[in-house]
Amino acid sequence: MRQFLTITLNGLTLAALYFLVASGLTLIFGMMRIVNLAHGALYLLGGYLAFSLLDVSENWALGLLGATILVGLVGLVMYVVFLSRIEKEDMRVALVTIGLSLILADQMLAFYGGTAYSVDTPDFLVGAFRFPFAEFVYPIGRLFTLLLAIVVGTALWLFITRTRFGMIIRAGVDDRDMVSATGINVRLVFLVVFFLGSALAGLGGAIGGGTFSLAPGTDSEYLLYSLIVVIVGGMGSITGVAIGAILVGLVSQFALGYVPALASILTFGLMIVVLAVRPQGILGRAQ
Amino acid sequence: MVVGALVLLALVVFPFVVPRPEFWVVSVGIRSLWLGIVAMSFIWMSKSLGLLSLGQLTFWGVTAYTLAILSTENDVPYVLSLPLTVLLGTAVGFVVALICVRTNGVYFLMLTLAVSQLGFFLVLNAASVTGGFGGIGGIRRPELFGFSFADRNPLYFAGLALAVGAYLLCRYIARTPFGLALEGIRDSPERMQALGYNIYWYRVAAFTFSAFLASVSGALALFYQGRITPGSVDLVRSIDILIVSVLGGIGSIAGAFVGATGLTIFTNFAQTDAIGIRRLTLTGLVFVAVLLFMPGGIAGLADQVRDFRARKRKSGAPAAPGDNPIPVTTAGTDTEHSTIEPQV
Repeated sequence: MRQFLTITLNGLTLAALYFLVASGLTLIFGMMRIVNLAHGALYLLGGYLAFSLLDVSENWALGLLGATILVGLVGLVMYVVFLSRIEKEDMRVALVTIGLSLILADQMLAFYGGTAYSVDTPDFLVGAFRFPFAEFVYPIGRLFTLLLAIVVGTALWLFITRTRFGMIIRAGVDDRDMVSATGINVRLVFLVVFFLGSALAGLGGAIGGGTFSLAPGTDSEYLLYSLIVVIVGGMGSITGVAIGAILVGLVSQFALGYVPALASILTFGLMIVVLAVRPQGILGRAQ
Repeated sequence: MVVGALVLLALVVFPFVVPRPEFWVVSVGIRSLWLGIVAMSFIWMSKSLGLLSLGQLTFWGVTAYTLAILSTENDVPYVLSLPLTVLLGTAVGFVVALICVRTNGVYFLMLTLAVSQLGFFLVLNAASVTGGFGGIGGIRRPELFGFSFADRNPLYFAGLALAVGAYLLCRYIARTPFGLALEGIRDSPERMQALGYNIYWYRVAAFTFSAFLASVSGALALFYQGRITPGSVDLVRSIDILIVSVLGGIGSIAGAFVGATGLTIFTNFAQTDAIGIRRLTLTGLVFVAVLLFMPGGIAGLADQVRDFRARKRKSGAPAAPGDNPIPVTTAGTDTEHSTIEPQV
């Protein structure tokens, strides 16, 4: 029972991290039809920046916030300089982002080296949370990730369904040209969405860098999991990402707990089963 | 035809006249050949299906790994293990195709990328079979039908024969009814479906053939490297294939070898620290620059210059549409089959 609870919570907290990262990927894709394959590199950059900012300022919250905003800005620059002029050609854009991820990863390797880093968590997130039943304890830091993902997810959902700006985003997903024909500055909306999506990767890195380690290769690992999450959940849908993240998180953790040798195969199997039934993902729209 | 014969003649004479053969024949020649074959499998799929696959190294790796496991650790003779492992790589390609060809455009790109990444983590984690991080080493080069491929020249010629054979096969298939049907499916799937073609199985078949080419390259690469590690199937290697294809020009099958030679020479010289920038950063910069400014790659450069001159003469005329070799997912904007053509 205790093992089951631990694995479930491991799965859910991992899902929370996947959600933070993948929601940025899906937000950008939903609005702009851009698959940002440098998303994993932005995650790693967020982690490294949080580490460095914390090192300098000794303030955890500042590191978190700074990393989020800086990574958002890096994403914004990436979009304006490299992607905006070819954004109508989705494949070419995807290929360019792969090239950018290669450059980013190599520069991070040059700067931070091959050793693993971890973002120190503040005192109030260290230690174990004691559940009021079955003498069950669980690390507070990981529960915080879960809480943060719920807060961010709810905020995103409210932002997209309840605000005027969110309304423009939803309209843009359906018909970009029509939105711009009604006099709305779609350019500006794109910039905000790209900033927001990249910032989410940065936030994910800053949080994930506290629970797990940051090293070369972490970028492609999180890119892979973000891709699986959005493929399972359906591209472009925030709710879909939440469902995809929970499924992938639980399946991978239960597989690790009970059949460790098959862990990556089972995650892949989940993707195949979903795709065989619904090629566009659980909540994705038909192409 | 004449050009092709001359190029082939030059490639046959090449190992006998070149200085420092250990560098030019082995490090550049053989490496360019296997890299070119796997890039050709990528370009062929892009040309015949309009799909970009980042999963080619999966099939390449299945063949290389199983060949290493069978022949190095279990002493299965190469006569048996070579066809068997190439077949296995192709079969894995078939299974992946069953899922992947249901999707299009960037979905396909993401899905194949996920497949190749899972392959990487699988060989990294299944250490008891694959040797984990260190991989499998000590690969003996084969002796087949009385030939020993242990020396550099026989291996080079075997690679050259495979490359030429694969190239001719691609050219041949493009002219068969099967190849023509694929072209039709790429350009107008709805129309081909209406004509009674089962586009799903055509796509599966094309994907499987591409996986076969990648598997052949995997066997050749294993003998070139003498070992196989997870590092040779990671994301950076998949990007290498992409770079080779984009550099050579995604629209041209022969361009794969131009791009492969380009990247190989570049990699060899960049290792000597002749250039101040880190190798991977420079590779990425070149890749992005080619994508942004030379969509036709090296093979398309002549066309691009001609277009540019023509445009300068007729100043202001827009570039002709449709000469972009990188496919675009055109959901809902394809006007071709929404117009009703008059019956003649």
